Amino acid sequence: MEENFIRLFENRHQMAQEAHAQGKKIVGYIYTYVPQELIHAAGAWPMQLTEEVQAHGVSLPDHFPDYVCDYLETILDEGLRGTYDYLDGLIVPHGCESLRGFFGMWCMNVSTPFTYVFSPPNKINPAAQEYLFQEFQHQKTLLENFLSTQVTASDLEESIGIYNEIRSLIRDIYSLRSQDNPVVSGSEVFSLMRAGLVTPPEDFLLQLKAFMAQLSSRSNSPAGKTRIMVQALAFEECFSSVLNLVKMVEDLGGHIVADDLNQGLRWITAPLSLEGDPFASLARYYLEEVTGAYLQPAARRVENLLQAATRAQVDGVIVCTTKYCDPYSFELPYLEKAFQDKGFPVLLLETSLSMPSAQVKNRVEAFFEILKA
Amino acid sequence: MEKKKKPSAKTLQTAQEAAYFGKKTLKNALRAQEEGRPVAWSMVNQYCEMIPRAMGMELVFPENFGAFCAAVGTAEDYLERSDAEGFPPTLCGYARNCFGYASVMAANDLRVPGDAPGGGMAKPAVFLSSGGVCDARFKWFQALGRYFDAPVWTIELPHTGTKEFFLPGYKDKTIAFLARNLRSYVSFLEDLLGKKMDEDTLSEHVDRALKTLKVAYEIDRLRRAVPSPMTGPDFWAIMMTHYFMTDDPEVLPFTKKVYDEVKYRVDNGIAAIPNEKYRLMFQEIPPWHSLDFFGELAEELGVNIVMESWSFHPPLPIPEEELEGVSDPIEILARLCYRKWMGYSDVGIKYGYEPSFYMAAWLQWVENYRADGMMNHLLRSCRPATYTTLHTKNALMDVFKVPSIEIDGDIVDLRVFNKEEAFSKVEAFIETMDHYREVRKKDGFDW
Repeated sequence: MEENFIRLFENRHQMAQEAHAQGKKIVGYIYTYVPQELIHAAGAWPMQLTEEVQAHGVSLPDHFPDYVCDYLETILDEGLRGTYDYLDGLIVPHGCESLRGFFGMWCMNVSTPFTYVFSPPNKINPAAQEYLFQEFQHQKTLLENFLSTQVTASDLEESIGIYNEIRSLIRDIYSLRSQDNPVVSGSEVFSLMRAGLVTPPEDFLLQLKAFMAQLSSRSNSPAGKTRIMVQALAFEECFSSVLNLVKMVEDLGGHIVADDLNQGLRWITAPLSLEGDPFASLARYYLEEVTGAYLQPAARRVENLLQAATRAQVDGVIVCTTKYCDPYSFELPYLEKAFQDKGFPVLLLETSLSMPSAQVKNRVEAFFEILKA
Repeated sequence: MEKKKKPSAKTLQTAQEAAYFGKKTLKNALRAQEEGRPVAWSMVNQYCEMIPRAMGMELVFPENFGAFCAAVGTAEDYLERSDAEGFPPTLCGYARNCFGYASVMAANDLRVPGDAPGGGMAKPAVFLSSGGVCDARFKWFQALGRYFDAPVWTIELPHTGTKEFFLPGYKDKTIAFLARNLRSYVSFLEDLLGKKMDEDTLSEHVDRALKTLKVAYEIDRLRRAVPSPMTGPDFWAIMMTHYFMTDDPEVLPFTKKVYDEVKYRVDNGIAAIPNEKYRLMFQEIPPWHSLDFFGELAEELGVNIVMESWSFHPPLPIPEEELEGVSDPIEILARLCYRKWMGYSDVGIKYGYEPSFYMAAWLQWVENYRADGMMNHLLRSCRPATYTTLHTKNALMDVFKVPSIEIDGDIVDLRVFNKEEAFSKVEAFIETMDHYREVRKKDGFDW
C-alpha cells in the first residue's frame, strides 16, 4: 500500500486536473490553520499546496528575495509555471511573515479565481475565539458566494465527521507505529500522511481503512530498533526526493516512532467536538487544538512533544528546521534544552534544498553512533 | 596627513538633538530600576505603548537598542554571544543583539552590564510584544524566557488582506477585536502593577500622541519639496521620537521644532543636500551600523533619500468622521493602531496590490516625492522588511517606470554589508535612473 500512497502523491496534479476538468472545485491551502472541514462542507476539495523540489528557483529571482524558506519559494515557482492552474481557490493563513508575503505574490502573479487571507489569533481566549469564529463566518460566506452553495450546520457536521474519522484512524496508525515491534514503518506513515494532504478526504478515508485492514493482518515488524522522533515543519523538509531523512534513519536501523509535522501529530491530537454549534466548534478547535510554532508560545508545543516522545519511548530526537524559518528558529535553543533535560539526545538539522544530502547523512550517521553508545 | 572627515548624514539641527530621546528612555528605565519600579521591555507596538506609559511604567525598546548598538559599533559581541547560545544567525538582528545582551545579564545575576552602550537596558519585569509587523516580535520575547522570569504579553494585530479589508463589517470587527485586546492588556497591567488605569490620564496620552503624529505627518508632506529639505538619516534620527515615544510630553514640542526647521528650509528653498541630483526612496530598514553610507552617496553622487521606511512613518490621519463621538481612549487607540497598518488600503485596491501594508504607500509616495528610484535593502535577518521589496520593485516599474536597486545587508550585523560594493552599485544605477527619467517623460509622467 505504501506504493499506492506514493503514487497518489506523485500523481496529485494529474488527479486534480482531471477532477477540475470534470467540474470539481478545488480550493488549495497552506498549513494547518485553514479550516479544511469548512471548504469540504462547501462542496470543494481542500488540497494542500506542496513543495516541488525539482522546481527550485526557476521563475523566482524577480519575485522573492533569497532570504525566504525553500518551501514557499518552490510552491510559488510552481504557481508561476502554471502547475496549479486547476485551483479554483486558495486560502492562506498568516502563519508567518514569509507566508503572508507569499500570498501577496501569488495573488499578483497567479490567476486563481478565489483567494482569501486571514490572521489566526496569537492567543487562546474568548476574544480570540470570537474573532476566529467571525473569520470563519466570512470564509463561509465567501465560499458560498463563490461556489453558489449554502453551507448548513449539518453539512459542516458531516464534513467534520469525515475528518474526525480520518484523525481517529491516523491516531490508531500512530499508536501502531510507536508500539514495541511495530507493524508499520516510518516511511509508510509519512507516505500515507503526505498522500492525505492531496487526496479528497472521502477517498483518503477509504485508503486508510484498507491500510488498517492490511496492518491488522501483519505480524512481521518492518521497523528498525533505534526509536527516533522527527520534528519538522513539513514533510518536504525530511521526506522528499532531495532529502529523505526517513530513509536515512531506516537504512541505519532506526524507526521513526513519533513526529511533529504540520499535518502529523500537530493536526490529529484530538477529535473536533460535534457538541453544540459546529461553526463555533470549528473555531474552538482551530484555536485550541492546532498547535504550531508560528503563533503560540513554545512551552505548550514543547510539552506536547515531550509527552509524545516519552509515550513513544524514543531513543533520540531529530529536529529539522528550514533555513529562514523564523518561528521555529527562535524556539530551537529552548526545544533542544527541553529534550536534553529529559534525557533525550537531540540532533539539530538546518535544512535547505541547496544542502547536499550527503552532508545530512554524515550527521545522522554520527548521531546514530552516539545513540548506540 | 589629515584624516578625511566622514560626510555627515544628518543635516538638520534637530536630527542632531534627537539622540537625547533614545538616551532618555534608557536613563529613565535605569532610574526606575534603582527605585524599585518595574520596567518593561517593549516592542514598538503601533502606539499601544501609551497604555503602560499612562500607568507610569518606564519602557525600553530592544529594537531601538539593537539599532543603537549597531550605530555605536558594539553589536558584534552580542551577536557572537547569541550565536553561541544556539540562536541561528539568520534571525532578526535586533533579537540576536538582545539575546547576547540578555545572556550577559544572565551570567551576571541579571545586573546591567557596566560597559553596555548608553548605560544599557534595565532588567525587565515584563515583556510587551505584538503580533504585528513580524514573527520575531513575539517569538523573540518568548525566547527571552530562558534568561528572565518575566511574563510576556502579546498584543494581537491581524494582518488584513487588501480586498478583505473592504468586506462588509471586516474593518469594524477587527477594530472591535483590537479594542477588546487592549482592554485585556489594561487588565493585565493593572494586575501586574497593582493599580487601576486612570482613563483621563490615558486620554491625555492619546490626545498628545494624535497631535504629535499630525505634526509628524505634516513634516512628511513638507518633504515633497524639490529639493528635499531632509535626508533619510535626518528622518532615522528623528523617528525615535514620534515612533517610539509618541505620547511623551517632550516629543510634541520637539516635533514642532522639527517642523519649523523643515518648513524654514522649504520656504527658503534650502536643500538638505546642495547638489541634489537624484531622489531615491529607501525600503525598509537601514544599515544602522553604516549610516555614513548615505552621507557619501549625497556628497559624492548627489543622491538623497527623500522618503524611507514605511513602517516608521506616521499613519495617514484618521478621518474626522471616524472619531466623531468616540471618546473612549482604548477605542481611539485601536483605530489608530489599525489605521497605521491599513491606512493605504485604498491605494492597494486601486492598483490591485497585496498586501497594502509595506507596499501600497510607495505607489503613492513615488509620485508625491518625485522619486527617481527605489533602494531596496535586502535583509538576511528580516523577512517582513524584505519579502515585499521585489514585489514593490515590480510594481514601481510596471506602473510608474521607476527603477530599483538592491543592496544586500543587515540591520545590525556589519559583517554582511559591503559598503564599497553598495556604493559602486549606486554609481552604476545613476545611468539607469537617467534612462528611466527619459522613459517617464515620453510616457507622460511629470517627473
